[in-house]
Amino acid sequence: MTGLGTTPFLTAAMLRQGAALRSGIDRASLELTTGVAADTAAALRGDFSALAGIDHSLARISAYAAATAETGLLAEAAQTAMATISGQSDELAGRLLQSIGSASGRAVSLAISTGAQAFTVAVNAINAQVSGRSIFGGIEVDTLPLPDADTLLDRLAPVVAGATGAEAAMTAIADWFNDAAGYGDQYRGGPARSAGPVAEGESAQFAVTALDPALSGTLAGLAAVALLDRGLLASNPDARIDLARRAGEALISSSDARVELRSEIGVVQARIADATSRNAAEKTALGIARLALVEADPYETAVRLQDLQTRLDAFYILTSRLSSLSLTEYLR
Amino acid sequence: MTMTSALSSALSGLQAASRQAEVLSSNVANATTPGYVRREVLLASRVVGGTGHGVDVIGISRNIDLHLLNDRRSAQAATAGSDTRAEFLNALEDLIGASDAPGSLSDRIASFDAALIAATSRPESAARLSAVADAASALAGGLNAASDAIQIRRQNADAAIAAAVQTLNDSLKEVERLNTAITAHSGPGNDVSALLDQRAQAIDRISTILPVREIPREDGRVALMTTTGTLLIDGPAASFGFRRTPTIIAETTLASGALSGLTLNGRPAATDGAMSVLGDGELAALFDVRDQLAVSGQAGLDAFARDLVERFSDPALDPTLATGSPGIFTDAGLASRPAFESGLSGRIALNAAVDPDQGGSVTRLRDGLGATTPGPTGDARLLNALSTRLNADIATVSTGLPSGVRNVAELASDLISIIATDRLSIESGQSFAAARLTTLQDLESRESGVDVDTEMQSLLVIEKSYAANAKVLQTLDAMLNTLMEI
Repeated sequence: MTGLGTTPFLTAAMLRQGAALRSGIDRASLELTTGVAADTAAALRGDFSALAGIDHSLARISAYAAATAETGLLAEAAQTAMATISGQSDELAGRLLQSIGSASGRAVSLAISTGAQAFTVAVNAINAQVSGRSIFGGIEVDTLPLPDADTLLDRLAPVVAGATGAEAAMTAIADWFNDAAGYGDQYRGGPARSAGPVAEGESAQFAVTALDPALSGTLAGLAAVALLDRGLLASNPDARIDLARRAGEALISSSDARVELRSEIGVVQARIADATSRNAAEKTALGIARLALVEADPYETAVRLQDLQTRLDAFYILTSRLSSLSLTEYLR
Repeated sequence: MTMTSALSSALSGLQAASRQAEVLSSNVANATTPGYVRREVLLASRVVGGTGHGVDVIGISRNIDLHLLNDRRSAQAATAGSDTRAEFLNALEDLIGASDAPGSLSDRIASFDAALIAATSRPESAARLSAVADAASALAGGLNAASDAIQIRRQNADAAIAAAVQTLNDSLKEVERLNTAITAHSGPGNDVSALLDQRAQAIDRISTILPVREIPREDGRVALMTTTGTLLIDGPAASFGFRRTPTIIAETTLASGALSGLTLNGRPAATDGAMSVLGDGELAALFDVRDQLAVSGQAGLDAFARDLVERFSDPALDPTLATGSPGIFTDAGLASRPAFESGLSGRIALNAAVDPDQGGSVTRLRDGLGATTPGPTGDARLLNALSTRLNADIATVSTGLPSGVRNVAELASDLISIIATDRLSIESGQSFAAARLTTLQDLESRESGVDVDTEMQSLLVIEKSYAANAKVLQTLDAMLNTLMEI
């Protein structure tokens, strides 16, 4: 190739302009398809702090999704367990007091024998696990917080064995459940869970353990019925009825504590739900803000692309015309 | 006017025309040769005894404009210099990475932070703890890779300096040799254009490496002087000296004496600052990359690495840590030592206590780095504290980054922002230099380049002139024959 036309600088100049047009088209089409500026640093004038801040927040929000889902699941499972325990306790209390009202020893015995299972159900509910983690075990998630119901009753039985009256027996049972060396010693979980982050600057804490007074108070009432069923005070039918009444009253009086505990868990759930919706809103807002920082205006890009295309067309026509403009051609 | 003198005039006309045709054919043949300068035959009428007797070729001229040439050469040097700097800063920016680029420093920090948050939610999960260790290891590994890459760039710059100095010395010697040859051959009617072209090409090679001005001397010789005023050749050529350093690490610097500087005729020569002998060319840019840009890039990375190491080596954060022992990140197993900050980003590593590959256990991320027995599996306090510390604003102690109170993500974004700003400013200088060079090159080819149309026009004239002279000869021959037949 001897060059375009005959002017010496023309070949080089045409090559350069052609290359410039083509690189402009590459850049514009890239920006049009991706919607973001081809050179991020240039679009930000070299200052990455805003974009990096947004990117980091977005990454954290994605991570919070796991945290909110898991803590939410834990609280949900705790609500289910509490529903079971409350249902069993309220039903048993009602049945006991009703049977005592009917003043029939047989009715009371029936209520006791049907209610004896409630203790086992409650202990199992406390020992429930969700995706392999104990709910009420505090930071010891791999071990069950309590031994099984029979073991618990075996430990409790000797403490109550010496009690002569219903009042003494109920007090001994309640004391054992409040005693760090009694029920507290049977607890194999750890201290309460610490608060975990669920959103930027927000944390949620599911801190309920099996040692919570609402749970131990309920267990005391249920354990009294279970012990009656095992034959406690078998020699004294009046004391049995009295203890059954006291157990029923204990279950009713602990009902407030159970409701409070459930609303406490409900607060955690509400917090998590808030955090989840806040994260979603923040994610959208940050996404919009991020795009605004690095966006290549699609209209502007399209106009630029159109302009470049027109110019490239003209450039090619010019090239073909110039290549025939030569004196050598005419001298032939 | 006699018949013989008429014959000799016509002959000289024929000779001149063929000489013109010869030069013209060379012009056309070299129309697209880079660096070729259009030649022109200089004619003068031959005077014998006070009267004109034909035409003489008195020389061949090359159409050059010395000012334009010198300007173009300095633009060429400036372009080569800013290309070298922009290329390095672009590479450095890619190494650290924009915050949205996968594998960038910011991205690795975000992954580490996200892994910590996920682990806080389920501290008993070995998979989540492994993810934290992996993310921390990837962060340290990213810093190591960036640091190594910077040092390899410095090593490459050092090798490029050695090659440039070699080319420079060879080209200076060539100019010296061509100067001598041109002086020896120049004389009336002699064509030394080819030698002049060769010398111009040698000087072009020099002026990419460092900007020089050509100063004409007697007998066709030239002297070369750098734009900063150092005489490189005026008679004998100057000689530059440089010793290549095969392995360069962060601690190897010009100041420490471990790297070679430049010598000029055996004496040390400054490569930067006001006393620099280099001006603004490729060589100056290579020294700049090796001794300034890469060093400050490394210092920024080291400052970042030091912040990371010191941030987590705090007994208040992890009670199982002894005072002065490293946290999650170590300086090759040790705590950070302020006196050995240089190169820290190349040595930063995950603490062996939590690295299963080094006999550690990831559960120490939950139980404490110094824990000897496993703690409660659901205890998220330490993980929570680590996540909080990662996002805590802490004053930067190192001088490698501007002072300020930042969290780790801000530290990384400041690091990349500093480099990106430098890169953009160099790039705007680069496009200015490129535009200036293009303009000057266009001007130069208009002045000195071959225009085939003009050559063809001249060819028509030469053809006519040859034919006319031949006709004169033919007519004179006929006249002589007429005389002979008498």
